[in-house]
Amino acid sequence: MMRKVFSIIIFVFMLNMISTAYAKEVKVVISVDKNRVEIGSHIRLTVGVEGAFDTDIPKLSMPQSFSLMFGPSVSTQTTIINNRVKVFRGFMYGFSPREKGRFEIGPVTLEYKGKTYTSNSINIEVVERTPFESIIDEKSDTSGQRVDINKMVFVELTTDKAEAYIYEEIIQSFKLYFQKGLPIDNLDYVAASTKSFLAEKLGEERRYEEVRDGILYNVIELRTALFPLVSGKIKIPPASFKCNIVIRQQRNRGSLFDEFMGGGGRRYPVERSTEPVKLTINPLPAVDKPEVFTGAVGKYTMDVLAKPTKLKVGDPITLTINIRGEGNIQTIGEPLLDPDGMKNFKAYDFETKVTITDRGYGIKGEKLFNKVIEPQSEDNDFIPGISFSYFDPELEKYKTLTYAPIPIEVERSEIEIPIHLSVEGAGMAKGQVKILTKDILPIMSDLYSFENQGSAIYKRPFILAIIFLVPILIVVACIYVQRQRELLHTDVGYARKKRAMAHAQKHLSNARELLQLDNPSEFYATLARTILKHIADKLNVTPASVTSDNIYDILEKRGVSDDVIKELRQCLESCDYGRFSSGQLSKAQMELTLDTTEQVIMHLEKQL
Amino acid sequence: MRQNNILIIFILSFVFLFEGGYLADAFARDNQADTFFRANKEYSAGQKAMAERKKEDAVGKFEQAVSLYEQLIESGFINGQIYYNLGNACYRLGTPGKAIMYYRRAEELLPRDADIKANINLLKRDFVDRETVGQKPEILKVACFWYFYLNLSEITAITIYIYLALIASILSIIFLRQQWIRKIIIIFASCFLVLVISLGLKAYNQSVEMGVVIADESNIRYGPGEEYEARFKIHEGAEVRIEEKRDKWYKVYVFVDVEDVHDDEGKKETESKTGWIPESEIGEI
Repeated sequence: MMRKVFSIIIFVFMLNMISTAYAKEVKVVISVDKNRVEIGSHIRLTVGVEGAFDTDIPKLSMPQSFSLMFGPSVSTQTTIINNRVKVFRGFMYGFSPREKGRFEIGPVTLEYKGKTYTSNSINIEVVERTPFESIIDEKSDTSGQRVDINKMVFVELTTDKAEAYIYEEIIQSFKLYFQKGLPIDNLDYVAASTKSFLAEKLGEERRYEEVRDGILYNVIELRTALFPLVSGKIKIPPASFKCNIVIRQQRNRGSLFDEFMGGGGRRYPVERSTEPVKLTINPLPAVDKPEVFTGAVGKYTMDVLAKPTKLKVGDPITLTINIRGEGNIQTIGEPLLDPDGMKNFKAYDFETKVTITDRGYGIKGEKLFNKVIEPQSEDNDFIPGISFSYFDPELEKYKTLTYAPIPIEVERSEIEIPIHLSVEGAGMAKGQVKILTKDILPIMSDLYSFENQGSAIYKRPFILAIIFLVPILIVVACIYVQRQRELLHTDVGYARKKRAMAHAQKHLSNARELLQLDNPSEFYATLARTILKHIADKLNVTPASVTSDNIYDILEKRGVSDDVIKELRQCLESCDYGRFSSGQLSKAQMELTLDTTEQVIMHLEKQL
Repeated sequence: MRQNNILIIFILSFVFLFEGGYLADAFARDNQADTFFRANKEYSAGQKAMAERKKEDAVGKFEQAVSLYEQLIESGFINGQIYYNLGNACYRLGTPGKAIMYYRRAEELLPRDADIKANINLLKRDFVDRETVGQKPEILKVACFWYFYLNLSEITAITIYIYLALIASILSIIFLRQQWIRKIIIIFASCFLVLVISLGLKAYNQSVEMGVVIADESNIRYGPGEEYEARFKIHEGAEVRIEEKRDKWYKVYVFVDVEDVHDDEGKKETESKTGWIPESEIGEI
């Protein structure tokens, strides 16, 4: 409860403060929505009172040919911009002219707290109904209601001076005027090309109201600081601006959806260009130009700080030179340290930092120059004097700021200036830690990886050849073996042929055992069977189809030599004789037959 | 039985020889490591003397370190660390040309080592002649990382492994007949091809003889002899490509910027950048 009461008291107090604080700054302004009007149409006239909201209605006298349609309609507006309170009270009237001609409206008078305030007056031209000249697409305008867009929106490009020195600051203003309350969207500003200038944007856009030819406009102002880089007659080319004006029109059929989506009005694309601005840029005077002048134009001051001032030989002193003022801060050149005094100092390059402190009414700021210097002997008693020159365009002359030599105390260093076994004096990088000395990196001592890299394998062609050739040979051998295996599995004839010798040797081995057992009939039968089986295997036919009768013809057809066939015939006859003769054959004969059989099989193996 | 005995004796002899060789290598390595350790110690002592401003002591220690490192190299023991340390010691002794020569040798053996590159860059900042050798684009270094980050020996070893893997996969498909092995073969074959090309390029690059000027200042002459006029002068640390050797003179192509070489025709420019220099003023990389 107490808090509420307290809040109300503060509110009333502040209201009172506002009404009294701005009572002295009361201003009365009259404006119209258009200053050219057709007979029968109506104009909207607003009497605005700035600085007070507890005034009476201002006294307004209108020509008799103007009929009051409505009003006054009172509106109050309070705005706070940059901590400044602005109070506005508007009295709006609607009038309809009945006669053509030129009429002056105003001034309006207002009595407030015993004082009388007078407004401006405006001229209004009343004309017959005439065709409208504008950029509106006539075909698309189906409503039949025409709008004077040309006067609703226009742009201007101005500079604060028409003549300036090279590098001097020129404030360029681009102003967009649009009638108060006019809804516009899709604003697109194309800045003027400033090739001959350095351009710096000045603050945020400024918005305010301005009465022009009796019409109240909202103004958006964009400002840029220009620094001319060349002298002569220079032209700032036109800036252009595009936007859409949304004009609400009567619709026969509207929908809530259209209204909600902003479709209740027509969008007229508007494009405006400014006039070019002509400037005369003068070169800087050559007379009395100081030697240390590096091109700074404006108004500047200089501060210098040196730390430490008591040190040893070789220790660094950081010299901070602050140049602040108005002008193109970015391009301020380095101040000069007296070269004679710097002989006994080791100096590093300047490091700079620019800070823009104000962009409101021109570029204001400071440029910090940091420099590290090192006294090289005890005899250095002073940091040499510093000088900086600039050209003041208002006074139209050069000025040189000088800073007296700074006394320092330098003691002898215990450590001598080092032998130059390493590269010293590496430059400083902005914003980084200063590198004091650049030196090579330390030696390597990794014994774990300490091995002889000279005996690399690529230096041994013999080993390389073995490494690359042996696997290829293995692959070839494997392919061959695999192929053989596949043939043995898939080709029966091939398999029988390949295995015929092995089978024959196995049977011959059995025959040899029978020889030891002294079983002649079985021995000879085995031999005969072995030969015929071997031939059947080699020819890939069934053993039954190979008999003693047809075997010789078959072999002959297969190209077996006559000697082998003859040998075979003798061998088979010996076997038959051994199997079927009643007489006992000697073991020696049996061995002879066995040897013959082996030879026959060997010959057949080669020839089949 | 006798055959088996011969086989066993053969295998034992082979094992003995192999083991003997390995042990001999190990002993030799221990000796080299000991020398390397002593050399490093000398270098560190030199560094300490330098910090204490004892210049003469420092020089003596660095010279001792150089002597030990060179002794290691002369014994046939090659290692990137030795070359790098030798480069450091040469730099400390005020011969940056030789230092560059040893750093380049170290770089071939230890291509991934950042310290070597850092030291080369540091030294190059102070050389008189500006070189026009362009750095390889970083994207190329990333795309062909194996080429830039492996030395010849490592690329060879990887090529052999990939080759053996390729052979193993070929053997697998011979016996197993699995289709997916075919894809593995394609992958290994592609890798093998790339590696073989890289190996060839690397070997070619290393076969190009390079050198560094180790004299303070050298005259590049029109011909191999003092009687020929000097074409231009180059200074210590400038790297050159050795194109020909004749009677203790090298014909070299220099990479430094040469004045009055403004012709767009590459041939003329190449001619203008070549000349003859005495063998004693060049250190071969």
